[in-house]
Amino acid sequence: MVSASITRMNSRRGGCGLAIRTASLVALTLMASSAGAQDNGRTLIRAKHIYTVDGGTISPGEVLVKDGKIGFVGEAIELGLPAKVVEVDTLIPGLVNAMSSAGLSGGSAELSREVTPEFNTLSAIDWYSREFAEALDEGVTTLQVLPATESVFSGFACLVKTAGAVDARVLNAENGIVLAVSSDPTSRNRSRSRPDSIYVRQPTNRMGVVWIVRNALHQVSQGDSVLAVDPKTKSILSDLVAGKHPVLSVSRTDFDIRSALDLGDDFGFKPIIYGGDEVYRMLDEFQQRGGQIVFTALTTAASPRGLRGREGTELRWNVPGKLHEMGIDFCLAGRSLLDQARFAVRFGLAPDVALSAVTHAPAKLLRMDDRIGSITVGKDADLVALSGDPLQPTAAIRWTMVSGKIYGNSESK
Amino acid sequence: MSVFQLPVRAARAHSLRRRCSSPADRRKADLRDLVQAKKRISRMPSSAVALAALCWIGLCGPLGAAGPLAIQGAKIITNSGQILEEGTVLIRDGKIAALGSHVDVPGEAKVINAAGKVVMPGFVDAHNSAGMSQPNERNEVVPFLSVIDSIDPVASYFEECRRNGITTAAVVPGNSTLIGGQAAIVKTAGQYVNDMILRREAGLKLSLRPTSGSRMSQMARLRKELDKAKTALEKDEESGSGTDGEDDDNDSDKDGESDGDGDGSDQKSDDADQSKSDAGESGTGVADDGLDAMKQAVQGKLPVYIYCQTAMDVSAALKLVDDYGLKPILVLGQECHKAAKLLAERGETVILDPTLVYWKTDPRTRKDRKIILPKIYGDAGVPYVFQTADSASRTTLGSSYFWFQAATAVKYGMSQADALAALTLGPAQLLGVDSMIGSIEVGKDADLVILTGEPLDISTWVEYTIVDGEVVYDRSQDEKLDRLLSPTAE
Repeated sequence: MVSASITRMNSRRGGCGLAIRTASLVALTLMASSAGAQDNGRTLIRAKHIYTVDGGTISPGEVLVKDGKIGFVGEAIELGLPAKVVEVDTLIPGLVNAMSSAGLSGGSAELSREVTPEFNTLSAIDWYSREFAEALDEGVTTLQVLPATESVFSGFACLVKTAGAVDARVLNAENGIVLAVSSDPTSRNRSRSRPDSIYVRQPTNRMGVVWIVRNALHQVSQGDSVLAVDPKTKSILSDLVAGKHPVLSVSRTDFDIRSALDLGDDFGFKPIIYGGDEVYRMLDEFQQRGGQIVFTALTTAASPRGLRGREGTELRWNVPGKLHEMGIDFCLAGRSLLDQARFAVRFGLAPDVALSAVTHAPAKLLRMDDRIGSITVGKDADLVALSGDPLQPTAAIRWTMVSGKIYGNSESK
Repeated sequence: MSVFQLPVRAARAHSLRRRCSSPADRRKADLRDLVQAKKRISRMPSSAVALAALCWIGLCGPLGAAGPLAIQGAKIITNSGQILEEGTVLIRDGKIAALGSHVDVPGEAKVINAAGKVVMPGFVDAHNSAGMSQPNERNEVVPFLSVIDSIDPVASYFEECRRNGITTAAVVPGNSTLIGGQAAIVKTAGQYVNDMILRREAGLKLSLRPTSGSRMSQMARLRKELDKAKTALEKDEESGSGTDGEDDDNDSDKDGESDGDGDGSDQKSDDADQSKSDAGESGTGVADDGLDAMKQAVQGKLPVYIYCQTAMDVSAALKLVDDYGLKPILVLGQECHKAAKLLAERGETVILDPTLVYWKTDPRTRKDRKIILPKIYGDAGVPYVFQTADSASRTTLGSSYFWFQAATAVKYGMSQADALAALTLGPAQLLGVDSMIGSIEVGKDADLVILTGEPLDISTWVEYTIVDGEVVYDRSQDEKLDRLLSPTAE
C-alpha cells in the first residue's frame, strides 16, 4: 500500500513542480498567519530530504505531526484525516545543545559556598531571555542549562525546550549535577586579601578544587561527618555517589579531565566531561577509561567561558574527528551549533556523524533520546526545516518546530 | 613615461620584482625610488632619469627571471563574466599572459595540474588594520603618517591572508583616530614592505567616532582641518604657484619637476610623492604636516576612508563628502544599517562590519531582533564588500573567514556570482585598483587562488595562493594547518 502511494506521489511531483513550489509559498504564508492554531492539529511535512539521523535519509519523504509528536516518518503516508500541508526542502531533527547558560542572567554561581549541589538552574531561568530566541533561531530546540562553575559543586543542570508554554518546556528539572573540576572555582578566591574577606578560603588552586570534591564525597561516604554538611546537600551527594545523578564535570585541560575520571573511579561515579578542549592529548586513555564528552571547544564563543580562558588552552580543530575515530561517545555543544557541525565537517568529521553530533548524540548523552534527537515515530516533533544541505553554510533555516509548533525564522527570505 | 610601456622581463629578485613588471599605478612606488636616485644624480632632466632607470632595469632584469607558470585543467571563475569549466591560465612575468580552454603552454613552463579544482582571482580585503602594529595614533590629526612605516610583513594577519586566499589587502589606520593617516594597498606576500606595495598612498583615514569629547567637537576639528586644506588650495590657485599635487610647504625643492602635469591623475599623485619624498630628504628637519595629503583629499584625488560608527555618522559623512568634494570609501559600523536607504540613494559601495549578523533588543519594547546586515543592505540595494574579524576577535568559526562572509550573504539572498565578486572585483573597484587585480584577465596581475572545490562549499580549502605569479601558499606544506587538523598529544 505504501509503495502504491509512493508511485502516485512521484507522478504527481513530476507533473507539476512549479505548482508545488507555488503551493509551498502559499503554505508558508498560511503557516505564518496561523502558527498558533497548529497545536492541536495535524501537520504533514513534505520534504525533498529528511535526515532522520538514526534511521537514514529519506528523499523525498513525509513526516506527520500530531499532538506535538511525530506520528509518521516515511516516503509517503495515506492521510486518513485532513492535515495542514507544509512543503520544505530539507528536514532535520531539532538541535540539542547540551551546554548552555541560556536564561541565567545576573550570575548563576553561589560565591559564598563551594558545595552547593542542591541549587538548581531551573529556579533562576528567565524564560523570556533573548538567548532562547537566539537558540531557537539557530535551530536549537532543546537546551541543557548549566550553572556557572565558580563553585566546586555548582548545582543541578536542567533540560528545557527553547519555546512553548513555560510548564511544558521543562524536560527534566534535575538532569545532572555540575562539578567544576577545573580552575574555575579558584577565580574569586585569594589567600592574600584581608583576613575577614569571604574570598579568603579554599580553593585558591586546582589542588584545592580536587580536595574539596574529595572531602565532600568522603564525608558523605563515611556516614557521619566531622564537618557539618547540610542534610539536603548530604542526601544529594549520597545519591550522586550511589549513581542516582549523572555527574557533569566541567574540565578543559587534559589534567583536569584526568582528575575528574580519577575522582569518579575513587567514589564510584562516571562523570561526563563538559568542555574537554584538550582531550586530544589523552585520547587513548580517555577511550580506555570509557570517557564520554560534551565537546565545546570548536567555537571561541562557547559558553560558559571561552576556548581561551585563563587556562590558555591550545586551539585544535579536528578533535571531533579524532573522537569519532576512536569510537568515543561525544557530542558538540555551545553556541552556533549548526555552524559547529558544519565546521566539524570542514575539519574532518563525516557529515552524518556531524549531524548526529548536534542532535542524536547529545540526546543520548543527556539520557533523553527516547524523546528527542531524531526524526522517529513517537518522539517529540522538534524539527528544523532548511533551504538545502544542512551542513553547507549557504543553507538557511526556514523554520523551527518545537513540540509540533512552527516558529518562523529570520533566515527565511 | 612611455619607456615604461616597453615590455620588460620580470626580475625575480624580490626588491625588483614589482618595480620592473608593474603598470600605471605601481609606478608611483617606482617613481619615489627614482626620485631618490635623481637626487643622487642631482638635477638631471626627467627624461634622463627615466633612461637611467631603464638601463638599471635592463641590468637587473635577467637575474633569475621567473619562468612561465601554467595552471591546467581547472574550472576557472574569472569574475569578469566568464566561467571556464575546464581551462588553462598561463602566467608570465607575474602577469596573466593567456586564458582559455586551449592555451599553448610553452615547454619550459612549470605546470600545476589543477584538474577538478577551482581557480579564482585572489581575494581582496578592502579594509583592515591587522597588518600593522598599533593602528591608532594618540594625536588626533596625523594625516602625514603612513601605514607603510607600520606594516609588519610577518604579521600573522598576512600569513592568514595567504592561507585563506587573500592576495591584496588595504592596510588602513584604525577607527579611533580623527585623521589617522594614510592607507596603503599591499600584496599579502613579501619580506620587505616595499615589495608588497600595490599603491603607496591609497587613501586618508578619517574616523567619525569620537574618542575624546563630543561628536560636535570631533566634527568641528575635522572641518577645520579640511577647511585649512581648502584654503591652502585656493591660495595655490591665486598665486598660480605649483600644480595640483605640488605643495607649497616643500619650498626646499622647486626645480620644476612637476612640469609633467597633464598626464592624468596618476602623474599628479606621482608629483605629490616626489614632493613628499623631497620634503623628507630636504634636510631642513621640518616634517611634512600632511597638508598635501589633505589637499589631495579635498580635490577628490586621494580617497578618504571614512569610518562611521552609527547611522548619524553616515549622514554626517555624506555631508562632508558633498561639502568638500571628497572621494569616499565608507567603512560602516554595525548600527549604520539604519542609514541603508540614504546610502542606497548615493550608490556608494560600502564596507560592512565583520559581524554580519547580530541580535539587538529594542530598549523600549524589549523586542529581540536579529539584525542581518547583508539582507538589509541587499534589500536596500546598497552594494557592499566584506571585512574579516581581526585578530582581536578572531574565531574558530565564521566571520574570521572571507569565504564564510560571502556564504553568509548568499544564505540571506545574494547570488553566488555577486558574492564572489564581493570578495574580488568589488573591493578592487572600490579601491580603484581593478585595472591590476580583481579578476582573471590577460594583462592583470597573476594573483590567483586554487581551491579544492566550489568556493563557498564548507569542505573547500585553499590549495595554492599565487601572488604576482609566485606560489606563496601551498596547503601541502602548511604545517600549522596540519597541526590544527591532526590533533595529537606531543
